[in-house]
Amino acid sequence: MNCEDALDRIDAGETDDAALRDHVAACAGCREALVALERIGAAARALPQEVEPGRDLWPGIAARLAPPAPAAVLPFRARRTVAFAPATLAAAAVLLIALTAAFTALLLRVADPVEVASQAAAGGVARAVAAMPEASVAAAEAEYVAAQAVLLERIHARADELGPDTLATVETNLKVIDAALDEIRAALGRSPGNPALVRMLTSTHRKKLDALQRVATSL
Amino acid sequence: MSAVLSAALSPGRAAIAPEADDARAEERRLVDRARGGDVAAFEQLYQRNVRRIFALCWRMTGNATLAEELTQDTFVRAWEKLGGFRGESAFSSWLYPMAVNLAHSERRSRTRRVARVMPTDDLTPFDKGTAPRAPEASVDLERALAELPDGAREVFVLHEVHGYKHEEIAALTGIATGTSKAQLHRARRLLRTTLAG
Repeated sequence: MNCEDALDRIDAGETDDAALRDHVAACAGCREALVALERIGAAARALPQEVEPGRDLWPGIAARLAPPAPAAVLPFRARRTVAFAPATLAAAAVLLIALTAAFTALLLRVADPVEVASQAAAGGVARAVAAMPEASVAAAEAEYVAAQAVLLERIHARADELGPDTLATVETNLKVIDAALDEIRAALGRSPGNPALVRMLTSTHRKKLDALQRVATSL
Repeated sequence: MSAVLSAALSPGRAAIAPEADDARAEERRLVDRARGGDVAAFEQLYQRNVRRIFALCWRMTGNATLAEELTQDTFVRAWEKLGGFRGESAFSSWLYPMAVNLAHSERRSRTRRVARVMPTDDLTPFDKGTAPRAPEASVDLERALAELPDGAREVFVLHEVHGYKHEEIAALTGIATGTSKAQLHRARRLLRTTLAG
C-alpha cells in the first residue's frame, strides 16, 4: 500500500485494515495524518451542542405564528387504508349533525338557553361561561382547544383504520366547524363580551368536542 | 396511549429516570398547550430548544445570519406542523430533521441561484455574519468547518458532530448514500490539511 491509498482509506474512515495498519506503522507521515484525523473527529464530537444566537429570534417567530390553533385541522397520515367501516361512517354522520347544529345556531344568531344551561350544569369549562370577561373567554376556549387536541391526536394515531371517504368527510366537517368558530371569534372581536356570542362560542366548541369524542371512541 | 404518556404513567421508568420523565411530561404539557394555540407555551418550547437548533443550522451553513433565519423558519414550521407531533420522541428529536431539511433545501436553492449569476461555486463573497462565540479549544475547528464547501460541511456536521449515519443523512437530505460518504471523505481531507498547517 502506498501513501496515497493509505490516506484515501484514512479519510474514508476505513482504518480497521491490516494493510493500512502495516503501512501506518512504517510511515510517519500517514501515522501523523491518522492521528490528526482522530483528533478532528474527537474535537467534532466534543463541540458544544448548544450555541447562543447573536440576537433574540423569538419576536421574528412570534410575528409569523398564525392565530388559529395548529391542531385545528386533523393532519391525517398520507398512508390510508381502503377499509370502509360502518361504525366510523356513523361517527362521521354524528359529526355532520353536530356541524349542522352549530352552523344553524350561527346563522340564526340565536343561542339555545336550554343547551347553555345543560352545559353549565355539566360543570368544567361551561360553568365559567356566564358573564364572562374576555380573559375568561380566552381561558375557557383554550381549555376546549386543548381537550380537542387530545382527541385529535387519538384519532390521528389510528387514522389508518378509517376509510378514505370517512377521513375526507371528517376533515371537511372539522374545517367547516373551525370556520364557524372563526366567524364567532370575529364577531366577538367586534362585540367583546357579547353574552350570546360567548354562549355560541362555547356551545360550538362543546359540539366539536362531543363529535370528536364520538369518532375517537368508535375506533 | 402515546409513548410519553406511557412513560409518565409507568412507575418502573419513573423509578429509573424520574427527572427525565418529569421533563418529558412537562414538555408534553407544553406541546399540548401549544397545539391548542397557546403561544406562551410554544415560546417555552422555543426557549428550551433554540440553542440546539441554532447550533445545528449554524454549523450546517457556516453562516450565522443565515442560521438565524433558518432557526426562525424551523420554529415557524414546527408551529404549523405541531398537530402531527405524536410525542413518541423528544420535541428536539422532532425538530432536528425539520431544521436539517430546511438548511439543506436552502443550500440547494442558494447554490442554484449562485450558479445562475457566478461562474464559480466559491461562496465566500457572501456575508457569513458574525460567528457566535465558541469555547477557545473549538475555535479552530469551527472556523475550519465554516470554510468547507457547503456539501462537505453539511455531511461532516451531520455525521461527525451530530452522529447521523450515512443512510440517515441520505434520507434527511435526499442525497445518495454514496454522495454522503464522498462528501465526508472530502471534508476530512480538507480539514486534515487545513488544521495540520
